[in-house]
Amino acid sequence: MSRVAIQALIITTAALLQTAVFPHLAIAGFRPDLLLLVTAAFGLREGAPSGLRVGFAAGLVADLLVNQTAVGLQALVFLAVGYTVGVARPYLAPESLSAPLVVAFVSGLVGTSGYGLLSRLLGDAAFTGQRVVQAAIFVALYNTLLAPIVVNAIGQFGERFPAERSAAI
Amino acid sequence: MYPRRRSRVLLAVLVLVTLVLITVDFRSGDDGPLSSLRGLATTVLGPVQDGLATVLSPIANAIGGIGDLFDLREENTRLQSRLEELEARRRSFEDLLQENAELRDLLETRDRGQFDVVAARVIALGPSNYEFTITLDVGSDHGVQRDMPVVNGEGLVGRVIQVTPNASRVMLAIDPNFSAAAGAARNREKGWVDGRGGDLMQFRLFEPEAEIEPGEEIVTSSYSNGVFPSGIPIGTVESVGEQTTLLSREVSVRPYVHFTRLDFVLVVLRAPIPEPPPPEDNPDVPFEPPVIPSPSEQPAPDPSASPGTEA
Repeated sequence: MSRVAIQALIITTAALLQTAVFPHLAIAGFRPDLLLLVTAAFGLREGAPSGLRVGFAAGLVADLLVNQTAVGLQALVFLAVGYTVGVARPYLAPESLSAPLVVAFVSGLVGTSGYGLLSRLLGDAAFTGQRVVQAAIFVALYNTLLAPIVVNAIGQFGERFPAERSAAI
Repeated sequence: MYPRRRSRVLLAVLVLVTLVLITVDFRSGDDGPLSSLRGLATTVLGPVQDGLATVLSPIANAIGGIGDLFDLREENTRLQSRLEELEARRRSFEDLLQENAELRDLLETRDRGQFDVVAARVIALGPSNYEFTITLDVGSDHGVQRDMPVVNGEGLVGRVIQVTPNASRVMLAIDPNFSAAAGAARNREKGWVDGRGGDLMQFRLFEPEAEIEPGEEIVTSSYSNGVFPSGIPIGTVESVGEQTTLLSREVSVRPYVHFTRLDFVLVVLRAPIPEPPPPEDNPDVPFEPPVIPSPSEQPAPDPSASPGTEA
């Protein structure tokens, strides 16, 4: 199976877990954002191009599974997260234990609040300041807990299906 | 092309694509091509979510149950005080129950056959932390239409917002974009109930000075085009705020439905009643005042005609 097909399978599985399983694990009504975490993990392990592509695809899937915000909004936020993590990769020591935790926390915080703020700017009153702050903090903490598992899994995927040499820059 | 430059070009292209998507979706509303794509995603992922929910839900519920243990002590205290309160009110309820049973017989006779329902299983919850939706395993093939109410044994669950042949998406009543015509069960004071995410729901009274107290039941009302049938329980009044200078009062409502524990629901197969068009003024027809006959021209009343019958 090709690398792209496996990536698509990973994104689809993450979306299914997020909609069918994680709601049962919600704390105070908030749950992890697995698609965002997968995006950050690809950016961290494989670099900016991979983070960009996976971020766009994962964000688009997330957009199609919600009804009240415009299609493309999460894609925009996720690809920005994937690209930024990929660009910062040379300074993060991706193989270390702390890098996945830091990346998961910061990407959860920035990605969730960025999506909330953009939705608010587009006129969705549901995204109150309090709600956005709460969601960003919970997602950041939850994603940090899941980061070692997810980043390790994406790393193993990268070893079995290596990216182009140039793509990791 | 240098790899770094290639990344920047790819970034620019993808940002442009997302901006186009956002613009197209924003301008086309609910009937645009991207809305159909959303429907397609629900149709394709629905059966997989259904299977996954069946297999993994018991495990996830067991894990989630561990977290519930921390809330059990508090809930136990709350339920005990509630039980004492209900015991005190039980006697007065017995008279009401008798009256209620009689009225219910009458209502059931009228309502039976008026509303059909279809049972549905919840196969997925919305993926966003900002949106409170669920996906059901019934769709247009089962008679479900957009805007149909969704209920369960506890009360109002929400409203259908998207329908595909084999699945449908429901906006839960706690979603911040949800609003329903409602009224107090005791004195029928009308207003709107709004969802507020993880917080308690809000009841906006039309008459801010209306009498309302904590513990009162709030039910749906059908005055808003009949989107919701009257009398579906929503919740109880938790607190009533002071009237503000804007002549409004904040009334918090605790919903009956446990939105995190939804497994089966009923879709009420009743479409909203379309609002009749406003009366039109036809400028081409000259206004003719009604001719009022003089007392001498009026016919004498027919003593044999009874009220309600045509003379």
